[in-house]
Amino acid sequence: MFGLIIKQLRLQRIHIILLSFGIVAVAVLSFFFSYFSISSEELDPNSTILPLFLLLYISADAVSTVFFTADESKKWASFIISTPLGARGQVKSRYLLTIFMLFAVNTACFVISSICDIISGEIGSGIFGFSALAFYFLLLFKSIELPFTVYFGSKMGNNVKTGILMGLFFIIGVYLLFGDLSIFGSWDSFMKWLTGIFTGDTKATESMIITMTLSQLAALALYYISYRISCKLYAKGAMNYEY
Amino acid sequence: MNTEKKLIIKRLVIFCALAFAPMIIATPILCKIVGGPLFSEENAVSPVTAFYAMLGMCTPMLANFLTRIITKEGLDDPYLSLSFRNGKGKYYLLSVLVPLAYSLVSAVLMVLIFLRGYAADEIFEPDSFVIAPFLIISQLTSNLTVLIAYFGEEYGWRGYLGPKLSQLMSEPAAIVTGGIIWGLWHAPLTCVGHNFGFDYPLFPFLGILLMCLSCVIMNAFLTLITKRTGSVIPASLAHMTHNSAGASIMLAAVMKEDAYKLIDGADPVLLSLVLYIPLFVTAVISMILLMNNKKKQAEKTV
Repeated sequence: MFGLIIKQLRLQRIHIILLSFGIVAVAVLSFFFSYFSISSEELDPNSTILPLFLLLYISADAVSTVFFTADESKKWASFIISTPLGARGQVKSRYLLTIFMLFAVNTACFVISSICDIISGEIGSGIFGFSALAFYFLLLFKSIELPFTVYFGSKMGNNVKTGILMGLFFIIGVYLLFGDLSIFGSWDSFMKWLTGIFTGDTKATESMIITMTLSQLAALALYYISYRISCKLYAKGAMNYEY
Repeated sequence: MNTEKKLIIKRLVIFCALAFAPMIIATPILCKIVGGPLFSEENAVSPVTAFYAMLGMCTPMLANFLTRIITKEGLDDPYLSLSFRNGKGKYYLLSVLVPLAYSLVSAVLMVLIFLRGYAADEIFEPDSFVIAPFLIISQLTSNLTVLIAYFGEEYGWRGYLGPKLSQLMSEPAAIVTGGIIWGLWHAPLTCVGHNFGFDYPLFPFLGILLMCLSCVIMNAFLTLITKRTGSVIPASLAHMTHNSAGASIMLAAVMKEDAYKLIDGADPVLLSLVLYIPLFVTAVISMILLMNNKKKQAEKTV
């Protein structure tokens, strides 16, 4: 299985190098904004850095999808199932690579947020808490998407991903139409509220804490269940691949 | 001494030099940058300290890689597997549950010893026990996302140092020696206030001694779960749980501020010794299980 991981890292090295450049670019931009926030009271670096972290996670999602689609071939699937590793080894290596990718991006976000705090002189700006939340959200997302990708192929996996995102946008749209918008006074005030949850400046209600904690645990459990489902579906799914 | 043992000792010396050097060099430089000890009250929450802690914890892993490259050792048996089969799954679960259990026992002991004579409503926040488990779990899940830092330590100490020492000496001796080396690695941090602060007799030597003691005790359990799973990942999870959900954090989640200050202000040496009691029991059980396993393996080969 170690060999399968090394193989995939070598084959997708271009994507990994591009993601690394993306991390460096986000780091440089973040340090830039943090530095200029010292002299400008109006410039809140969190408002700019958080969306950059979101972009990094989106990039990590794209790279981790490539790990699955790269071997979408009947010949490869038949070969790997015939080896001692079998379908389980193939699926396990992909799931591990996906979660390693998320760990790597999250660690990069932690390092970047720490250096930004050092530059701006702020103590515990709460940016990292947001990154940890994004980690679990993406894990939950992948748990739902990956069995479809394994069984039906990458096209269906992308359709499922799009469907989930459309559903989320619909929920957000409904909230924007009918919900409490007092925290959305401005982008800066919304960011202050969001990061305040992790620094303790915003009073997080008990239900918020319980929901966040249970969601994080559910994401971990669902990822493992998703892996077990994908192991069972891999052989049958290979017959659905185009070539 | 035969050639193989000489080679192992040479590798260990190189590993220790590579693991210790960054801590010894970086700690005084960073203290100069922040303008005081890194773990003083004002600097403990500084982003410099957090960043340094993250990077510092990765030095044993880097030392592992570099030693293997320098001595042309290769990557045989790297202790990187992730398998729940053949009974290994329960050790992954124990790696989180055991530290939580001994931290809870430590917390109870701290309340019983340092706050005896106080009523429960003077110590605990009302209704805090409902939300406290979720706060602790949230702490764990947040720290799980930076597991790389704990993996960085474990890959060095349990993934390289421990197996090498086991080849030179008996298992108990290897655990004690490994724990002392691990504790001494923390010495530059202990000198700038890590874990014990500054207000104790014989600072920092008593702190370094206590750190070595706690590392020896922890090493027993961490070595057990590493050997039973053939992986340092359970040890990383256990280390993460120990740091994220320790007794003081559990108490902070449920106690009133004034009551917590009484415990926080207690003698750090006495506080540490109380904390180590359940940890010591865990270590003894782990050592017995390790020795039993070794005996069974020896009987099988005969």
